[in-house]
Amino acid sequence: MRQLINRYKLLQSLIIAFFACLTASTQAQDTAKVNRLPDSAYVEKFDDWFVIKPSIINTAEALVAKTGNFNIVLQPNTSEILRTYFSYQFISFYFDYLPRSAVTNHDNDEKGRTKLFTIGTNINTKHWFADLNYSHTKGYYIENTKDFRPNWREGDPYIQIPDLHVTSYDAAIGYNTNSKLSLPASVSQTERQLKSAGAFLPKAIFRYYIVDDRTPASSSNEKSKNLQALLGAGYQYTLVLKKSVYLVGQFTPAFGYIHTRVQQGQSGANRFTQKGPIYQWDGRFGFGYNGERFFAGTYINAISAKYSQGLTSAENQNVNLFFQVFVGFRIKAPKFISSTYHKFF
Amino acid sequence: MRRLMLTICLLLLSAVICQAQINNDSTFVPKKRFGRAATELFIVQLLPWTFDKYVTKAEWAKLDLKSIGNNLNPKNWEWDDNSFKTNQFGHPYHGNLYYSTFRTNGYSFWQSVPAAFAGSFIWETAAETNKFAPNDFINTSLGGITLGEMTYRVSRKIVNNRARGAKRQIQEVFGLLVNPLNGVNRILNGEWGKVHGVVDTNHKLTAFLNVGSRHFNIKTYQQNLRGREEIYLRLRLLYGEKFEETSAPFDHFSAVIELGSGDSTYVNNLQVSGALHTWPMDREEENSRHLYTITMNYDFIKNNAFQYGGQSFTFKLLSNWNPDAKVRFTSEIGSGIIALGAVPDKYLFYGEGRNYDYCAGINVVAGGTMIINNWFETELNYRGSRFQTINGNPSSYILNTLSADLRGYFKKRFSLAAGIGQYTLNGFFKGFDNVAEVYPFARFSVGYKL
Repeated sequence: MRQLINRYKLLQSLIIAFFACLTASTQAQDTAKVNRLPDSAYVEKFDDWFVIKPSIINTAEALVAKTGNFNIVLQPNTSEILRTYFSYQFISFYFDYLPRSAVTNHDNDEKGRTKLFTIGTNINTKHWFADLNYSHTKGYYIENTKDFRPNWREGDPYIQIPDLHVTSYDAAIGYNTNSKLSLPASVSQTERQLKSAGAFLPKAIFRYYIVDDRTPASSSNEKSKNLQALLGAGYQYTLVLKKSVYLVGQFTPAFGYIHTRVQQGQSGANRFTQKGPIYQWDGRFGFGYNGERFFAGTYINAISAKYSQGLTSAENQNVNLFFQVFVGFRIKAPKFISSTYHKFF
Repeated sequence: MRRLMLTICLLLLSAVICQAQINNDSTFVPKKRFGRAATELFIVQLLPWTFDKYVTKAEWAKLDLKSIGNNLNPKNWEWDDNSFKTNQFGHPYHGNLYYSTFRTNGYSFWQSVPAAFAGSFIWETAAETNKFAPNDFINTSLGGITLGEMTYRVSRKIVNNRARGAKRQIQEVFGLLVNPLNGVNRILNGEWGKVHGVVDTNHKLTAFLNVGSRHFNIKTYQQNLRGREEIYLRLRLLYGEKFEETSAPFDHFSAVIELGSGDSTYVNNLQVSGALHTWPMDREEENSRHLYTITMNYDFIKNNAFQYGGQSFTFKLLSNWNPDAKVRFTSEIGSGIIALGAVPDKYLFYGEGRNYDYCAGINVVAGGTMIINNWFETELNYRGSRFQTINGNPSSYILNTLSADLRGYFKKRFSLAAGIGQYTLNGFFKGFDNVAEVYPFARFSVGYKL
């Protein structure tokens, strides 16, 4: 837990330091001199090219619950996730796959088996952007097993909860206030950032997720349905070092409210609702190469949300800190896709 | 507070004494007077110190070189234990005097900023034997700048240089009460009561005075307390044009001053937000206008249920969607940093009454208004803040503020207003149970546009 928090604090510090260093150069986008340049001087579009981007992500979302001195950190056993993006024009789709081999996701005995299904889409127009995501994760282990079993040693099996299901529906819609900053250049690679630019990115974030412990023959089953709505106001800056080499930093704080309905017991006899404020931040820091036909890069991404369980002293934290390594290429879009697209847009 | 009141009284007295000796300045072009500004900065420090040393015989006013040397060493600095009112209102008010010494002597906003910092630093190191308090330095400096520029501009709007007679004298007195240094320097400059110059029409000041009833409730896990109804008075000031590009700080600001009959303090709310720089967003639209702005903010909230104080800076996107339509919409969204916030901590109480943690943090703000034909107005405001405690119990906080107001105007100047809202505070502690509390409020009032 401490390690997880330290890691995400480090990332938060890194992102803030990145923006602090860029404060001076950030001004450039707002100066009259730079604004005279057309958007095309900043962004190169790869309109009729189909983009395929496989990437490796090293973990999925952890759930942390804390009540007084009682602390539980639930982690899915997803050390390596293959996320593949298919992008064309303004839209991008992706899905996750958990590769199991001698070197990937091979510690089921220790941490249990996790099943993961994720699909999502990103839409990026000149100003508007939207993200939609659905994921279902089954099977978690308790990272801080030692707190519950003092005799536990490194290498021993963790406490596993194979029937814990987390289903999440995520949506975000936002506005890119500076058309000189290309969000696709760093997300779907359907464009390329030619000159450094930054933008203020206000967005609305919605999430509905269900945490359902379906452990058979357990008297303490709990199911919670959580609906959260937040407003975020963040900033992204892409620093182009050379024509195809860039650094990207993004940080968005977001605040809002969360409404939770809880059912406890096997028959769900004990039901109650909780509501309260929630704080979330998401950030990304990384570098990449974005050539004509080939691109690659590595990002460190984080999303962390924190809230109280209603008016109680219990708190929850959802933390998703992951490294992403990607390599992709562009191929000429098949004619039928191109012609169909141009019929509609 | 006593120190401040004394400063004001002595300044008023000295102003009257000095009146006979002034030279008339017929040009009235702001002239930089460094010597006078520096002297006034010295005097606004000397007056309260002298009072405390020789009248109240305060221990902390017995200075010696050793205490000054100690205070200059950052290793000896210590966050102080003063009450919320002293630290979050008293010190910023005093900083406003420091700032005003230069601002009212011909210096610009940015040129006067060092005076607030310097005045605060001198007081903390050389005017008291108490250890240098970083919270005082920050609150006095930043709060002083915000309050100082606001009061400077308001006081200059109150006085119409073309007015005459009793009306003019009343304006001068009010102007002096709002910004004492401005009043004193008007006397010294020979501007007091003199018909000169032209009426300042550059920036419009609109003031709304509301009187009504309000109550605050407290909701916790254990209890749901309903507060009693109390009479309150609210003054809302809108200065300048919010949707105009400007690089002059505080060409636009908004301020809310709320006084009430609660049991904690008479001043329940003093919030000022001034634009430091406003520039257009790079987007052409026929009917709407979008601008970026960076604001400097001062917050003092203290009522029967809740208290919060802070100094912050916010970057916002302002949108005026249809300025010429009968039904108009405006919106704003942004985020910022809280340089220093005082957040209530139920597990802390020591010294003079320190019951709050000092925190730094970030926030997100959003708001919107809808105005129908200038007769009906509705306003929604939201602010979410995340704090990490710097001094106090090891903790962090999430504070959400949500409010909605409705106003109906009739007979041009009169209005009826109703508002509801809530503060929601979640405190996450190490060593204590977490705290989750909601403070809902409601208010109803009759308003008059001044």
